[in-house]
Amino acid sequence: MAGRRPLARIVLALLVASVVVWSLAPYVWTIFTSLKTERELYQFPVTYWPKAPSLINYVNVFTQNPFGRFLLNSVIVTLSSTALCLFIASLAAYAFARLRFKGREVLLVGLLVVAMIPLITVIVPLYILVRGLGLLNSYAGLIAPYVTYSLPVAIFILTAFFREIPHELEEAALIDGCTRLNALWRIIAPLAAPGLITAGIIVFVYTWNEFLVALTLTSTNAARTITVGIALYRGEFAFPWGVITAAVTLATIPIMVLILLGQRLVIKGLTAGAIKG
Amino acid sequence: MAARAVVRTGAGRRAIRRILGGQLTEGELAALLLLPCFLFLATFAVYPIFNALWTSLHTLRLDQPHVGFPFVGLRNFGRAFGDANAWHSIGVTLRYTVVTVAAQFTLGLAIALVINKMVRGRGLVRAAALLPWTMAPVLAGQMWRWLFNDQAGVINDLMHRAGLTSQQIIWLGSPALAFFAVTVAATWGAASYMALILLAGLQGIPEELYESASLDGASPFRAFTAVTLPLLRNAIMVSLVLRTLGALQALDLPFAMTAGGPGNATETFALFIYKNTFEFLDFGYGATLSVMLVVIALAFAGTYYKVLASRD
Repeated sequence: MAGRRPLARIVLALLVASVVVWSLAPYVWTIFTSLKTERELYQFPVTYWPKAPSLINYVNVFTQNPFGRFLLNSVIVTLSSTALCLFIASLAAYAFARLRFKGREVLLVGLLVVAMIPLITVIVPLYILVRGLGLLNSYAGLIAPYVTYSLPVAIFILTAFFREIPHELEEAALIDGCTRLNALWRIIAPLAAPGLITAGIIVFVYTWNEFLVALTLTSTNAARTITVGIALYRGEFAFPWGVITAAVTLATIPIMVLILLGQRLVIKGLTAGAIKG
Repeated sequence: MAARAVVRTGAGRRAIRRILGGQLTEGELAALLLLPCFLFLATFAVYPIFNALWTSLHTLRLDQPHVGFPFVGLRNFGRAFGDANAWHSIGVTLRYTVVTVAAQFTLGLAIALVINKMVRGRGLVRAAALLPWTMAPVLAGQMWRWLFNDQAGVINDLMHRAGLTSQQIIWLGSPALAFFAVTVAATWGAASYMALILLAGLQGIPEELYESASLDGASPFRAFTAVTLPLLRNAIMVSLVLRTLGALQALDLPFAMTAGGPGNATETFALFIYKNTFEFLDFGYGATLSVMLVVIALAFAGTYYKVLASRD
């Protein structure tokens, strides 16, 4: 439609360009900042492309600050939570997609309620509970709530994917003498791989980016994640924007790579989770 | 240990043989598959929700352990109703929600329409639009704090170069400007998310409907209001509900960008609850406020649901 008239094409190209600039410019500015030296940061007039690009801020992120530890904590907590959440959610999603049982509707409504509850409402009881279990400042203390609050969205996405897998395949397996658990493992799981990847990416992003739970349940560097580490960071003198922007860049890169690799699946998951949930 | 003891008994062995041998009824299998999920939700979600309700009816101060955990009925709620700071932060949250959701929706719809019109390179632009959503709000808050920096910020520099301003604007130092800056950051973070949900809806509208509309002599604007908007209703509702629930509990972004300041100009209700709980250690009052937040969220969700149901 838009391809025919040259004027319409130009207008569309300009609009597309502004969408891209609006989405990416703040990142680009952040990356530029991270490559500047402390002196160039406050130079007047402000420079755009760094005059003397330097990786000193990236070195400082790891040598003078505990950001390396925070990144490692984030990787461990996020990968464990995502794996555990996918395992538990796929069992539940199989039940929701394939089995008839009493209380199905009640459980689905329950999941919806859990998905809607503001985290700030449960954070105090969660804090007391995790403290009572002796899990403050530990990976397990973060993983347990993360798995729990990711379960609803993972179950909604996986149930939608499981429903699309033809019943006949499974019935054939059952007739051939497969047990249901066997059928789940041998037939459904391989076919559900795209669904698992979709749910996995979305749970990964939510967990990696989570702030309130990590802020509340950690008070030392032992399990503190990168979001909390960056938010609580205060420099000795002036606010160290060079190091902060370098840390923000490093904390954002894993997510960006993941999203670019799985873009199509993520969008499918966002809309499936949103509309069917 | 307990599990092993059960296995050793005859009943346990029989049960395991039935599970592995596939002799379970559908209901039993469902219960088995749902058990891990149920345990996590019961322990870390359902119990905390009821515990928050229960705590909201008590006094619980971590800085005064000798006070104990006395039942005070609805006294905490009475205190909240008379607390000017609580009302102020509820006001901030409501303004924040209305402004950001409206801006995210308008911009998101515009982005979705633009991407939908593209012929080539759609995937790349969609990926670019997806990126703001993937950035942690708390990190986006740090980033925007730097963009809005008064001395070395790019926003002041661009405005200066464009000849719009003659001196540096101290964005985060005045209540109105700080509120504006936070809403800009929030809009950036979620407009693209809205756009992608709306785009999925747009792609589900059959092309023939537009063709017959233009054969009937409808202008593009008329086609938009008569075809696009009504068919997009579900996607619009879903995206509005999700973003509204998100905005009502906004905490990360203002925490990182302004910490609620200057004064308490950008102190959202969630941030106010956080401060009462973890800075003043008033767990009972914090629980009361957080129960009020749930009520506000439910009121919004209920209103959306009514609007949606009434048009069917």
